[in-house]
Amino acid sequence: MTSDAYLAARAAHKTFDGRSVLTGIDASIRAGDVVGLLGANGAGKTTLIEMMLGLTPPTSGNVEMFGATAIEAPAALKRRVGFVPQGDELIGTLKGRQYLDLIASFYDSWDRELEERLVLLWGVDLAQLVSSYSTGQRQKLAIVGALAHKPELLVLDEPVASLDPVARRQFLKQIVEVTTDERRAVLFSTHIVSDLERLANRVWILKSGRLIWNGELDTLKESVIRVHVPQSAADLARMRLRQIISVRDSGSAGCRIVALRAPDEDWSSLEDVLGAEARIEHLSLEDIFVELHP
Amino acid sequence: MSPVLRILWLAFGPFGVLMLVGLCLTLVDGVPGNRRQFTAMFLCLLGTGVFLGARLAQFAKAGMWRWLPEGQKALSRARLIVLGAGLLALGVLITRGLRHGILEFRTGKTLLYTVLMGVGIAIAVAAWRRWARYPAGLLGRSPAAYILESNRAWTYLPAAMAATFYIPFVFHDFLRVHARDTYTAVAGGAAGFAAVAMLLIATSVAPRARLLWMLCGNSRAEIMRICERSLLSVLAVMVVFAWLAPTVLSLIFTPSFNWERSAWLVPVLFVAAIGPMYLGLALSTFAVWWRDMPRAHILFIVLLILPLAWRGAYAIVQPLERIPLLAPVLCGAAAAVALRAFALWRWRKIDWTCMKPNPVETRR
Repeated sequence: MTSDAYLAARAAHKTFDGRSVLTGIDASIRAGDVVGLLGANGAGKTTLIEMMLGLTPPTSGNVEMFGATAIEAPAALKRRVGFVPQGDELIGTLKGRQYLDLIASFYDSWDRELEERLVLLWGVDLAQLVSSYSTGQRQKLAIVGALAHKPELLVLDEPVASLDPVARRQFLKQIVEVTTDERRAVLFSTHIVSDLERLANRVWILKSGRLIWNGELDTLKESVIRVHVPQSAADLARMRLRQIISVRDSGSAGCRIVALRAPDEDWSSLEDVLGAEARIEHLSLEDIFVELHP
Repeated sequence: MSPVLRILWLAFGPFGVLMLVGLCLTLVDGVPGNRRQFTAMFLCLLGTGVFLGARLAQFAKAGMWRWLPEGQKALSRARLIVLGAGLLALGVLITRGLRHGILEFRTGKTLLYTVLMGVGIAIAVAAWRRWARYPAGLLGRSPAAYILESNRAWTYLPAAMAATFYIPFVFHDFLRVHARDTYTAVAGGAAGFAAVAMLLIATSVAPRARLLWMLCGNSRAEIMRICERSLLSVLAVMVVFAWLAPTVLSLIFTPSFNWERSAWLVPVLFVAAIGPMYLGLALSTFAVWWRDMPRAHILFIVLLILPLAWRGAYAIVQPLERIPLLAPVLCGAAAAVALRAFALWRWRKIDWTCMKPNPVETRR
């Protein structure tokens, strides 16, 4: 773990009532990173985000925020983070304006101009009580609250889940604006793979509490292949591919193998080795995700 | 929880159940035989007034009866039956008192004051229940004030007050407290109320402060200090109200009012309530079973802590009769300092994933 990481976890485990939720998490986010966190429902995405942000301590291992232990992060470091939680955990008894004023009171760097622009763009009615907002409106308000103090690290837990397509597009545009500043970093979890492909330069894939992929998005796409081979070459393919994700036997039609390339694995001569009947295809991120969750 | 208990619970709420028990005990106890029992009756009326106020507030909040959902209508009917039973019990007590000559016409004026006060309290409680979320916000609009503002514990305070004043008179033998005069008894009740109220409010602070950790740039220790500052503001207001209750009663009912004793009550009330406040602040960090049960923590507090709090507060108030009070005040202050250190230690390692705030807060 290096101190230049905005967020970093080393061998972090988390258990609830003896049940393991996260296992052996090693990951970090640095300036310029836009990390998309993918995982099926219940994979532990929210727990991972909450652990990285210091809402909950890891059962074992370390989690650091800007070099300090996350749960003990002092105010100076916390103010560099903007967070949009998954649930609309806002204060329902306040009006939208009061809510934003409350959040703004904590930050010297609060940008009123940006706040007003976002509020206008998304049509958030600040005169209404938060409790009277629709789910989408609450989500927009939470996002404005997280963006307007221009955080160095922006963490969003399924931010677009409740947004309509127009608001979603505007939100993505805003995130793209954020990411143009190389000193800033974004971590966001989502189920919408197309959003992730549009924004992220790194991907974390969480499966059953384990981080099964932590790296560049492009590398991931290059590292997962689907190989269609005749039955005669199936054993050879199995021998050649070191990290097989899934194998589907289609009888006389052959065999379909999905594999992940190991860091030191060379696939340049794979087609030649497997023969002319073998067909190798690269997958989209959505296909990769589906293959990883059979 | 058994279905019968659940129905009772839903229909009456913790303080309603306690008030019912109190009323039954008072009826079983027989005719009011002395000044203390007369005071008990007065407090019984006070409790009924609070209960009536709470119901009025419910209707005010719902707009009109016809807008209440069917389920709430049934609940409200049940609660009105409790209220009717309470009023009937009071009527029986007063009639029997008059018939046996214990209540005389010369006490009629007092009785009139009492009834008027009961009605006044009912209206005040109704207003409180309807607009309870605003008082904390008036304390400076601090962030934690918002957390406190959305705290449902506020709406229980009047009922807590009724129970706090009432319980000591019902369980006086069990608690082994015998007030030398009405002022000391009411002052003890006021101190107990301040203590319980602060405990009630403080125990729900940490789950709500989760918002501050998530959305605002503060450390855990700072968040605790923000909450602490707001709670202290609330405590100051609480002490004023708790001081006013015995003082006003004493001014009305006592021919010679002792200002010195009344002035000493202020630090006593402060000391009686500040310890429970820090205890509540520390307790709020625990993710325990009673937090998950609706209103169960209130029952827990009422059944276990309230009589103890009252007894403790009473022990502090009792020396009012032999001023000075330096020793109990110092002991109370030392306990508060120790409890604050404990609370701070707990807050530094708080696990907010175990305490999701009530989703109702953000929903209509």
